[in-house]
Amino acid sequence: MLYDNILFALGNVFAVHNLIYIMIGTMIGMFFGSMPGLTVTLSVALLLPFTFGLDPASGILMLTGTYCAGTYAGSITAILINTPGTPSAVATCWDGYPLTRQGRSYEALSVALNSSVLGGIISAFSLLFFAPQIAKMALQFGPAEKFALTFFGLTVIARVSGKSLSKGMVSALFGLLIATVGMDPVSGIPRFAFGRYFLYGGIGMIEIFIGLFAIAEIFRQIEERTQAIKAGKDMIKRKIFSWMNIVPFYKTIIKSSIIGIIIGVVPGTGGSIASFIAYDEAKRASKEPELYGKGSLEAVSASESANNGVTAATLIPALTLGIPGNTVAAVFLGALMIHGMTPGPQLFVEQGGLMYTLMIGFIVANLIMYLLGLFAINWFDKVISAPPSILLPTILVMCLVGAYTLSNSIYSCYIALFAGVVGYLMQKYGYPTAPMVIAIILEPMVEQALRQSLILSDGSPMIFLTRPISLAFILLSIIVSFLPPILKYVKAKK
Amino acid sequence: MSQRWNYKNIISALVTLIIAFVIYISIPAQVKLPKFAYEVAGSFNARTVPYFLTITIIILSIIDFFLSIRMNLVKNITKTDVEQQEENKIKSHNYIGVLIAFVSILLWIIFTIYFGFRLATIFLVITVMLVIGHCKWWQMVLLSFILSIPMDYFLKAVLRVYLPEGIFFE
Repeated sequence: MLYDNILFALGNVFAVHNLIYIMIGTMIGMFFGSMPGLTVTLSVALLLPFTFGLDPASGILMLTGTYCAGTYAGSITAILINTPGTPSAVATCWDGYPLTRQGRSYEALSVALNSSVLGGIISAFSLLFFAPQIAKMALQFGPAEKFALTFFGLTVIARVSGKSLSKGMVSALFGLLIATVGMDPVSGIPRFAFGRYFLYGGIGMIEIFIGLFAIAEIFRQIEERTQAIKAGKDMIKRKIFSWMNIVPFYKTIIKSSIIGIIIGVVPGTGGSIASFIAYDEAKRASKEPELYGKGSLEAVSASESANNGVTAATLIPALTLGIPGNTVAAVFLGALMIHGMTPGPQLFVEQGGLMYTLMIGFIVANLIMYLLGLFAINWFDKVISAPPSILLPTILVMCLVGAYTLSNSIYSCYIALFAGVVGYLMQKYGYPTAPMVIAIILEPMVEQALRQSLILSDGSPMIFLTRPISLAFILLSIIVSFLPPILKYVKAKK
Repeated sequence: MSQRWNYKNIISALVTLIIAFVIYISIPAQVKLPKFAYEVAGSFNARTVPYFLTITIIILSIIDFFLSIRMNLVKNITKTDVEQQEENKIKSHNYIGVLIAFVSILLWIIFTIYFGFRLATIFLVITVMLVIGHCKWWQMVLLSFILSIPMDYFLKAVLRVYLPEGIFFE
């Protein structure tokens, strides 16, 4: 039965018209992912109505291409213009953009592409072979476990704080405070809304990222009379990049992809937290940790393989249990239902052929993304060669339009501008923006999980210590936070 | 070589302290708890996290403030005139340009509502290009045109994103 399904799926995926649909989906995903403000969810949602007229296999394959490519393409703008196209590409910014400023954008783009493809393929294999087992693991994650996992994600802050830990902490705490704006996740009470309805829904992450990264960078380049871009233009290093160049990062890529898979199956987490944890782990295990944050190819490979490792994994609870792991998985779930499939344990029995089409489609979509990416990065790389007087206004307009598009509201542009000023001043006064970004992404998850756990335990914090997974993550957080400084101290004493 | 205090860290610590304090005292007004919230959620309610965060920022800012003063008192850390001159030589800061860029973005946001996306974008692009410099007049005309009218059409036709048209194009 299994082999029948796999053969049926292979026939489906390699049909010429389906390959063309995957290619179209991949190109659309690349476009949306690389535009600040246009999200992967939006691209899948916009494409969904066009799949109604197609047969289920073609429609699902096209959406798969969009999803994979959209997740990868967030790294393009992150590397080239310091603006993450998707929240999960934030960690790629930290090292991708410094590499661009060193004239190594082509290498960074190539590593991002290769790592994304590998991460995506590893994730697709996990979906293909371990979906039922992994789905069982997802069921073990209640609010306490989710809190411990997201809390573990917050420990990354210590490693991305740069020279001053206290400034990193202040930056993270302000990030947490910004994320509290809007409705309280449990009681629904508005917090810091200042009577403005547009703040009731909270401050959008992407608007903040557009401001903190792109607008702040534009201000900085204007202040420095755009010397940095000119310097980058003069020393752009082009070299032929092949699979061989990625060999030193294989260990990091595999480890990060597995982190992506594990985090991807937990509903409500997603690519951002996976890339932060993978980045942190890669830095811990790296032979050159001092390069992290200053332009490390290994760091780019860690964050990109992790966020693409999430792609297929998020579909595991969606397909097997009917629980979408993130918003894209929710849209996917909707697409499956529209095409007559009911998610749940019976899906693999009743629609086995289509399910395996989806799984093999993920692998093929990643391979097509690789081929298209190889062609595209040559063009993307040329973007930074444009004179600053043309590049900066173009980025600025696209960012402002992107911010507007997110909520169809001009208030989003005010938020982006405000975040831009904050980001610029933070740079001037030596406050790292990375901890703030991590905090903004993780706060809603941390607070909601914490409060749900405390409600479940009647206010007793022992819930976090009596559940094995939660306890393991809390112990891991303590070890990761305190062990390196203790070891350093002991070493210095010797 | 005279010793000069490095005020950057002191100012930043003070500013974060003031901001955190203002947020702290605004919590009761900004997070209004209905009576039932005290009863249902007990000690953990909508205000708990903001209070915890602001208090921690205040404590860290105070520590940072005193550490910065202590650092300045340590002889080697203060900047000498020579070091300051070196730093000034490396970068000639264009703060006026940053201010103009900020004001032009702010005006873009305001103008977009009243005069529409196209006119506001033409204004923004030309202003930013003038601030950056090193560009020809035809580049300004061409780029401001491409980023306004064709982009508006593209957003409408492909993405179904309708940007404000303003009073002249309605």
